Amino acid sequence: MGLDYKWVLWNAHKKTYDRLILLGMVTYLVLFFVLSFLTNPEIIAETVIIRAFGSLAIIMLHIILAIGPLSRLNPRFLPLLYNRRHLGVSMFLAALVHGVFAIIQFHALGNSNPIVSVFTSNMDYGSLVNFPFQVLGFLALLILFTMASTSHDFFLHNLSPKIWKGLHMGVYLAYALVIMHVFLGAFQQDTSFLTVLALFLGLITLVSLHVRAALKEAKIDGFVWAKDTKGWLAVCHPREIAESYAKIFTVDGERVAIFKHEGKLSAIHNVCKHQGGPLGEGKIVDGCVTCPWHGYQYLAHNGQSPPPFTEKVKTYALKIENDMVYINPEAFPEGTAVTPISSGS
Amino acid sequence: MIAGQRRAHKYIWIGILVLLPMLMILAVKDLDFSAADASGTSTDLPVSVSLNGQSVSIQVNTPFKSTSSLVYEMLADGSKGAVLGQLEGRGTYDFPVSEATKGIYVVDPIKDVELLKMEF
Repeated sequence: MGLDYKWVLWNAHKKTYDRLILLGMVTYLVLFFVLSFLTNPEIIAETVIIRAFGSLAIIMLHIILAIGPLSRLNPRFLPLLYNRRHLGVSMFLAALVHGVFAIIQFHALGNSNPIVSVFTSNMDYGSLVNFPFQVLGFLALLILFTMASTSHDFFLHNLSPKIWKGLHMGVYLAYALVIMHVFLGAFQQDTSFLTVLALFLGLITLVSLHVRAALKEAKIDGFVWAKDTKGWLAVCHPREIAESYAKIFTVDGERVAIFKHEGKLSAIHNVCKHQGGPLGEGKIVDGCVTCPWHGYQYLAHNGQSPPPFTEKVKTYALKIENDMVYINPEAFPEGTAVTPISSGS
Repeated sequence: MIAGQRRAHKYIWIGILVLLPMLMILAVKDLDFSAADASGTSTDLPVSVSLNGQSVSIQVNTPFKSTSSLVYEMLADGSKGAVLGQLEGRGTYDFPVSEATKGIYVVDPIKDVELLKMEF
């Protein structure tokens, strides 16, 4: 969390993860090159570069798409989620090398503009199997470029989290385009059933993870709390919430975190304004609720980031009756102060 | 994620699960793999040629190893006529022909080698 923008937000953990990403990429590329030349000595360097970086980008894309559901299914994967942005930019760079070399190799030696050539060298747009697969890869690369170039907090802040998140959900369209790009390419060029099999297994794995995570979330969202006569929901006993930590509940479809700070309870919307991190999975540090993803902070009693920061989340009213914590499902506007209630412990 | 985003994610992945395999299957179906593999004939040949009215359809099953592969029309006397087009990788190529066309030649113009001669 900072007032000014830096090109890259690095801390010790992020530097370690970035080194691991770089090491993994270099190792994969070296192995790919060595194995390619050992198994096919006649292969030319440009072809190996195109294949090595293309396959690396696809593998990284699968890892990136698996991180979200894995983190929702098992918190041990959360550190990967915190560092997903750098992995995404690295994946785009690998895809860019693949795309640039492919365009140079296949489209730069003719009379027409290489980019125009990508779209016009194969005009069989009416066929499914002979569809110009390079166009699909080019469009996917454009989407990945848009995402990589707007991945910085500057754009997140200025575009608004909602628009930014919507823009970055374009990764799913890019994934679909990439899958069809590789699938059709595998049939139109050197038919490789191994490639197709790997793609299909990757697709099944990703869809299974996402559907499983969605079912888990739906189960949490679908829980029905007992209501009192005024519509307040009975959610837990005060002692179930540990000091400086929170418990998360779904109230009218939205997640709410009830924090205990110095023996008093406060409820705020669970979603961090920065990148949608789960505030209730963080803890109170220096008197502030601290998002576990990137350290954005909020005051528990009013949902506001401490000055000079301006982020705000919704707050909720609480009460305790018969040793039970009740929450009013109707949220107050973002940043509304609510007096914390004593938990009695 | 807020509730709307969770819902969007769920529907997007269900869409991907339905759409991508469907597109893949339709693409493979167009290739008619099963028929080719079962008979062991059509994909054994590097190309298969069929005349469809005023056009000739050339299915390239195995790409030619030549640097360039030009398709010429075969005239009534068996000589080479006009260039119909060029063959590249695997795929189906359709070229318009006249009534005088009796077949095709596939020629490597660089080495000046006849790669294929086929009469209708």
